[in-house]
Amino acid sequence: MLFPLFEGPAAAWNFWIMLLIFIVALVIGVFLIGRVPPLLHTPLMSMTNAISGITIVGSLVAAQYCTPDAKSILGFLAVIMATINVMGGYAVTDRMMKMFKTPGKAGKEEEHD
Amino acid sequence: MIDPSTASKIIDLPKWLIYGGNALAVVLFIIGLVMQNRVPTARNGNRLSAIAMFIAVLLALTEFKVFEPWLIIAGVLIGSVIGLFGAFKVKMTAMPQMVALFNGAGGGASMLVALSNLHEKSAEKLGELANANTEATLSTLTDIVMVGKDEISIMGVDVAITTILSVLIGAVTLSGSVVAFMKLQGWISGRPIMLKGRHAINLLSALIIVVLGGLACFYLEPPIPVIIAFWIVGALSLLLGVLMVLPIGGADMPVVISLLNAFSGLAAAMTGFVLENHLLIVVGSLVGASGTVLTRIMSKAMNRSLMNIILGGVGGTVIKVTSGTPKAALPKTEAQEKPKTGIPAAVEALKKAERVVVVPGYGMALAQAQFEVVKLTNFLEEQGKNVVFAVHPVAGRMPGHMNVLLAEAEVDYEKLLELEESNEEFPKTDVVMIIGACDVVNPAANDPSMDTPLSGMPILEASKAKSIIVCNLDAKPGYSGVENPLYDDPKTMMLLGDALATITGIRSGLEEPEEGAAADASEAEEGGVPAAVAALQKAERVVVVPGYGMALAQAQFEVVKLTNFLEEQGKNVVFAVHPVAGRMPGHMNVLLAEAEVDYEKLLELEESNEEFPKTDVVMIIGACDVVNPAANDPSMDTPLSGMPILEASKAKSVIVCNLDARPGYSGVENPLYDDPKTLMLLGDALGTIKAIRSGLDKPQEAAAATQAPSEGGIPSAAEALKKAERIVVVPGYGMALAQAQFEVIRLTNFLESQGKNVLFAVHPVAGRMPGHMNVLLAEAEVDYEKLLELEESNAEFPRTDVVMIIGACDVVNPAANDPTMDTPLSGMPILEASQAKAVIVCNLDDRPGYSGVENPLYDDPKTTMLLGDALKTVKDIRKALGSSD
Repeated sequence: MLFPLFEGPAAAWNFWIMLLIFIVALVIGVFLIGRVPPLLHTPLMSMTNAISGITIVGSLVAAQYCTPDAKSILGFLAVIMATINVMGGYAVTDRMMKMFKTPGKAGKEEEHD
Repeated sequence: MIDPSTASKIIDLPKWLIYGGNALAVVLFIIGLVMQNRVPTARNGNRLSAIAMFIAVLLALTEFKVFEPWLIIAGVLIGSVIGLFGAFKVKMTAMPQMVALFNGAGGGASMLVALSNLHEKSAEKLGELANANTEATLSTLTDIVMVGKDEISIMGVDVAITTILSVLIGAVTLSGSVVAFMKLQGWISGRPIMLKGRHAINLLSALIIVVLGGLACFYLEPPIPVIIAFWIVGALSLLLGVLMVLPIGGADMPVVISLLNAFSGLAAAMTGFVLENHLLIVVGSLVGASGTVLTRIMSKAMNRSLMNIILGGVGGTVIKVTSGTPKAALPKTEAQEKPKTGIPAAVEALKKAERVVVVPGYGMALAQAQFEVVKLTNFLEEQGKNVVFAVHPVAGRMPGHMNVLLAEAEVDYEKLLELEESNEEFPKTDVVMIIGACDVVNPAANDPSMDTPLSGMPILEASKAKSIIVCNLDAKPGYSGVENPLYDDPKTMMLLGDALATITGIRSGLEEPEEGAAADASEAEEGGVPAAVAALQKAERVVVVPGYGMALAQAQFEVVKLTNFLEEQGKNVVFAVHPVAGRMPGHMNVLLAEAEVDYEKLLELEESNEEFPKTDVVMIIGACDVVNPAANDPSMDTPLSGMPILEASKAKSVIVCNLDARPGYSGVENPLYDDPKTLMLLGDALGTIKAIRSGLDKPQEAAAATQAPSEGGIPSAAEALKKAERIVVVPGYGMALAQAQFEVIRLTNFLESQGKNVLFAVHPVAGRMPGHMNVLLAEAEVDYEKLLELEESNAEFPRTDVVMIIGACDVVNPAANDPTMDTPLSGMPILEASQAKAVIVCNLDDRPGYSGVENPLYDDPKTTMLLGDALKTVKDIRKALGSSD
């Protein structure tokens, strides 16, 4: 059987639903990002990069057992890397965005200093 | 959603709460992305996204079946420390590599999760096999789809495929990002690294991945070889990532980093497939889409296809711009070579020289350079060189003038050679330094074919030396008025400008051999910086074009100090940011934001290109390819051709603060550098910008001199109008562009109220449509009887006291009537404004009009040029005449 996904009805549906979700999310993503001004491309990339750390959810599951087998070790490493991605990504994005001054307000505040 | 039906979780949340929570997280992620559309909301959008991540993590924890979170706690702690440390320590200029590194970590995590899942499943399967349970069942932990009737597999084909994709994409992201990081950090060369046979290796790796993956997918038994196959896939994918990024050069990095960003998202989405986790799929594909969109924007802006970039190879060779007018090529050899290589070349020549002769002249006395000269010669002697002075009897303004000066500077008199001794010395001399002398070294005196005031005068035959350095104020002839052929000698290096500064520059160049850039900068300071300062002082609209060079020189703060200063002077300053300037999308924006530039001043490509024609001065700081006009030249076929560029060349003048005049990453030479309106300030941008700012801070000398004439224009125009009785206004398209018609009419009404006769001369093709000017003037309620046609106008001009030309050029260009010239205008009927007694030109600039033919009228002594925005000029004239609003 080349495509066992057609075999069991539950499993098959599961896959196709996931594929659908995948495609819909891609389309939504394209629409969302196309509207972001080039000015914010770096913070945007940095933020989406942090978001890609969502894989931390998977890594948590993989690292939930403290067993000395390959699965847990890989999971442990995955947790470290995903956390670097998430924490570092959001923090550095926040740092960048803090710098973009709002012309009226922030500018004047600076001048008063 | 790791099997929410499982009963054995430690925290048993209701299903709706888990799904609801995940849905909330997705919605928050999306809102966070939407909030990136505007600067004011972007920061909160990022925080919202972080909250969503937190929710997702909490929900994942509730899915646990046992509570042994020690690995997780340890992992999160280690990861947080590394991540936050990196995030807060990184300099803004190093942002691309930091983002790349974080990105790689995410991709790597996805790969590891997929591999971990594989191990888990195979362990289960091995356990099952040990129990001799050959019946196909669904796992209680995960949905294991059993394949076929007889086969026993560890997972379904769909899971297997997505596992492979997850491993492949995750691994490429990881290794690719690490290589990108190393390139950006300078650990390995930023130039394309082309390994021999990399295409073959890539192809072979891809083939093995496909074969192994296929085998693993469809013959998923027994588990151990399958696991080995997956690990091989992972290892080969890491290799692929390295080989993918290695051949990609520095300036293509924005594309690569965007692409890797997309990959890390797709890897997460694939991991979602593997774990059947909808949240991972949604969020991962959002990121994948975002990265893909950015990749497309970047490669479009680079004018390269993604394939072209990945295959690499640009930037390895320098492409000479061969086409283009010979006019452009000619100044290149003169203007480019000399100022660029000036002091460093002189330093180089002196370093190599063994016998040096200094020829002082009156110019040395004027510049008070004798002490500095002697310091230099002392230094050269310390280096073991032989240095003497050749003193011409009439050098200076009194007999023995030079001897006195040099004695004052404590030069041993034995080193002062007289004329005959000197001329014996020159043929043996490596370098002659001429300091403020001209006629006494003029070889024209010895040329029997020439009859000049110098002919027959005994001279110092400096031309017989191997090379010559001339440190004079200018290249003009000396007192005799005879041009000095020595200046054009190929072995002569002309270091024009204040001799004191030049000598100091040479000495510091000799003393600090490693800092070639510093010498360059000081050269720029002496020659170019004052000119740049003068240009900036006169400018009203300034555009700054930052590039990667600004990041490298860490010059952003200094640049912003300069622009703030310019703004305080009432000038309009904006920044033109090319999409791919720098090493990642929006790189320049981040740097400028760091330096607290208001983001509304950061113009995008199209806005910038609309701005340039109105711009007085463009300052290019460390950018090359993105302003290279060769990209727009259809006659040239270069890697840049067709790339959208910042059309800085359209501004009135250009200041380039780059390290050198070499081509940028593309290898295409930049014709802009040879443009006569371009001022090249080579050297360290930080130093150059500082020098410009300090030059602007001391406006007393230069400013007073330069601003006076520009201020003088309007009063003298007003004066002319006051005296005039018959005035003709010539409107052109420039008036329409400046929306100046109402202001013009106010002025003419005022002039009429003073009893003057004012008429309008309307050329048939003035403006952009027939009768364009008439419509505009009618709109401003000008009596149509005052609108003269061509013949009437030309009859009027000889009687006219003052002609005011407002935004017109070709239609008043007298070159059209000149039978000796063959121009596109030749034979066109024009408004003969040149026949009036005085002419006032209120144009934006003094460049040729649409025809490209220069307007001799502008150089006419009776013409007053009032350049700049016509609206403002006309208003100022009216105010100067004493009219109130």
